[in-house]
Amino acid sequence: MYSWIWKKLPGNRVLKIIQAALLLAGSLALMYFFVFPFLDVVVFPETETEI
Amino acid sequence: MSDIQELPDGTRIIWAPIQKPRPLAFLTQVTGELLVTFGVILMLFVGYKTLLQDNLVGSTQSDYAANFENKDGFVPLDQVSQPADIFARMYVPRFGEDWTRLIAEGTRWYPVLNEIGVGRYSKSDMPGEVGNFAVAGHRGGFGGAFRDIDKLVAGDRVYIETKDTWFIYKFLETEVVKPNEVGVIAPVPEKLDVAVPGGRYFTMTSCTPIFINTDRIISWFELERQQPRSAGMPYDLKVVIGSR
Repeated sequence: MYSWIWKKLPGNRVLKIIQAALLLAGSLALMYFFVFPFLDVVVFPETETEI
Repeated sequence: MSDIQELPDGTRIIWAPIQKPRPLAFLTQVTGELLVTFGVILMLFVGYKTLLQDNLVGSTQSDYAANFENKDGFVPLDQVSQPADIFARMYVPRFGEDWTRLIAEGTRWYPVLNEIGVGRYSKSDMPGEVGNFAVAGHRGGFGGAFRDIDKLVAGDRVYIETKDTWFIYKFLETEVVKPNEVGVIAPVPEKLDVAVPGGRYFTMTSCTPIFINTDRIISWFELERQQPRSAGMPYDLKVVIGSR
């Protein structure tokens, strides 16, 4: 999967490294701003503290 | 994998086998990579919960609390009825000069504890009343409102700002109890040695140990004084948090 992406990236090695870094940064931003806040509600659903 | 043929003049011919497509190997590789990726994502999520979220959500909750009055205003204490009614704002200088949270009715996770920050146990009393005004807040995660509850020491104050009145509570003591020991938020708190009937107490509850959450950490306060809101922010709080 990753080797397939690497081969598909255009340009020489330096360009590929830059593009791969951008892809990684994009995925991380997607995780932190969308996936994780959503996952939070799934992992920790509504509850009421009992007294 | 390859055969090497050497000619008399030293030229070497390398006969490489033609790669046959191996669908199973390809599938195995992709599955493995996906599993490793999933593991890395889970570790990132743990990092998010333990290191990042309390700072991000915590400062959001503090900013929201600091600017709240501009939009809506607090529900008067005698009109609090609906879950998530916001009726007070609290300041705890020990938690940092920027730390402030709104207090809402009830202890549901959404939106009270997870988004607003601090919730009042509906069966407890209201601020300033005889009895026990008891609230809950997260220790870690979701903004970690009460993360530093174990750092409270003698002399610390909590400042509760409501629609008409400031209530200033003085720290008494902290105790770690089991989750089923609900007497700690009774009008005369159990386990609080100095508790007497007729006292006006304030109780903060949270989880401990942080992120393990097998026990509950309880901090008691008693009413020291109160002043009308029109008189402005209590002078000793103003000294701590400046002109903010």
